[in-house]
Amino acid sequence: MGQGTFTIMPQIVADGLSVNMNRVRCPNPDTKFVPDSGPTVASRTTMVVGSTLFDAAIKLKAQMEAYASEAFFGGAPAELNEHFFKNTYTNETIPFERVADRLIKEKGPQRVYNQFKLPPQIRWDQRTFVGDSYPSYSWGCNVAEVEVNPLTLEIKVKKVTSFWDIGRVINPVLAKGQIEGGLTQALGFALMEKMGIKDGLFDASRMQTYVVPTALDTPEMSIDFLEFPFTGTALGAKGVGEVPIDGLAPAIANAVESATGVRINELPITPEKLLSKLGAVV
Amino acid sequence: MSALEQTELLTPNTLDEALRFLADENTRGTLLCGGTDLMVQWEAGVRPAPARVINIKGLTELSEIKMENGALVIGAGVTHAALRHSSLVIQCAPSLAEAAATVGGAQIQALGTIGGSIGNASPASDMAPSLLVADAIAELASVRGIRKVPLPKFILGYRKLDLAPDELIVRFHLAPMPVGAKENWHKLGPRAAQAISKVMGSYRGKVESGRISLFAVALGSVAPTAVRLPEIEQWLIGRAIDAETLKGAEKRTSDIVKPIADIRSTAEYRRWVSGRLVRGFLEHLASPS
Repeated sequence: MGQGTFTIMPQIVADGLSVNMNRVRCPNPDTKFVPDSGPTVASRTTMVVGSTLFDAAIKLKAQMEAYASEAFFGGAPAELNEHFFKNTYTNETIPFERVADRLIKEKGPQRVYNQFKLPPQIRWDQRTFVGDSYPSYSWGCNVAEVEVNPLTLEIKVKKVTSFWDIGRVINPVLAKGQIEGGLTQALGFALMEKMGIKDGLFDASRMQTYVVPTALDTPEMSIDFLEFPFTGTALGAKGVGEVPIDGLAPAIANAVESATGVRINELPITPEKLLSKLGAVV
Repeated sequence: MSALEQTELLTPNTLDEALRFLADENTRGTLLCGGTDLMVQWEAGVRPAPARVINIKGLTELSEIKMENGALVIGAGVTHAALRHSSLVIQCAPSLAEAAATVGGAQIQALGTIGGSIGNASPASDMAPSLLVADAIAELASVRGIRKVPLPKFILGYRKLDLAPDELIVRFHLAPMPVGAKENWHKLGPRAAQAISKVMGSYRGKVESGRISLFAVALGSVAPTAVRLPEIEQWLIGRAIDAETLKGAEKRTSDIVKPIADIRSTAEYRRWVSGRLVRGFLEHLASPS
């Protein structure tokens, strides 16, 4: 469960540092140690926090390489690559641990500070509300295959085919999992989940009455990525938090309309609503 | 705190012992045989937790499925999981096996029982329609003796049974499906599993020489109890299944049922779809397979 933040952040840092991922620990966020970076909202964590960490990791790598060059290679350029620092003139290598041990003994733990900056072409004027309020967006396209039972007007989603542009995909397995979860939630949004108010109280006050999809309701899903890395950051990733829930309900509404000739423009789409629109036609 | 913290639990070893517990006011208690309805109702506060519970899960006298004197006899403690897989039930009352397969999910099917489903006296009991079309008789036991009551006279209303405080449902006697007859079950719920129905129903029917010779149909969740539709059944006997019959049966059914609106569905949809279910059953009866 969860968005995978504690998996992808070490991945991004390991990538920026060119070290193995198991060398990276991701402690719980604590403003005792790091500045307040704002909330996890607007699917911004991967793009904003991820990019901040990626650029910080690159800075830290440069800092360590500079030390290795000076302390071990007599000023020749050093390159960190997984387990070794390499003298790029002579191809001599020194294990990561040796360099790191000496660095810490001599200079103490190494820290870098990096702040996310909006790409320069992104402009937003808070006074006039003119410009781009977000630097980039993720995109998705959903195709729903739906069966409407002519006897009872029951609606069954058979298959969902979807394509996603979330920039550079950091972790395909987690990204697909997030999309499967989002599509399943969108299925409930489209066909089942309903929260009304009666006499000032929610009428669906328990999971018995607030109906969410089960595994048997969940259709076959085909999920593919079209990777267009975001050009505004070195990392190139965008967010995948909210976008999976956005498109499926309209796709199902369109499919139901194509099957029945009736457009339902209020969620959830139910047999009851279809009947009241179809009326005597059936 | 659990709703059952103050509840005393008695576990009889035999049916006789259970009946003796029920006979004595000092040991009488609420019967529990799986608890898939009761545990939820107690925890949610729908019903107060009782002072005493008699746990009859595990009484072997209640868990048999057998043929006896030409009737299919099903113990009240038979689970939905056992029902859906019983070859005897699949052969003699197939819509009951189909219904059992749609109760809740696998865990509820493994614990919940046919006796509990009827004993809960809910109009949404998934067991009731198939029992009704098989002319089921409830066999009730107490220290005073045995009583056999046809199901429509046993289920008196919403949460109301013809069951004395010292009585226990021991088994159901069903008329097996006649040779050449067919059955079907259809449950309409807000989702594919773990659902309480909007409307559901079963039928048992037979066609001889192109005309309907037997038709029994029962619907649930359209009235305070699951109901047979005798007017529709009588109207259908002797008719061929043609467009006019389908249309007539559908319209008559929708005119007869008087469902309510609640959080799961509207009265309008329930009325309409009741007719559609009967149409679907007739189409099933007329289909070659």
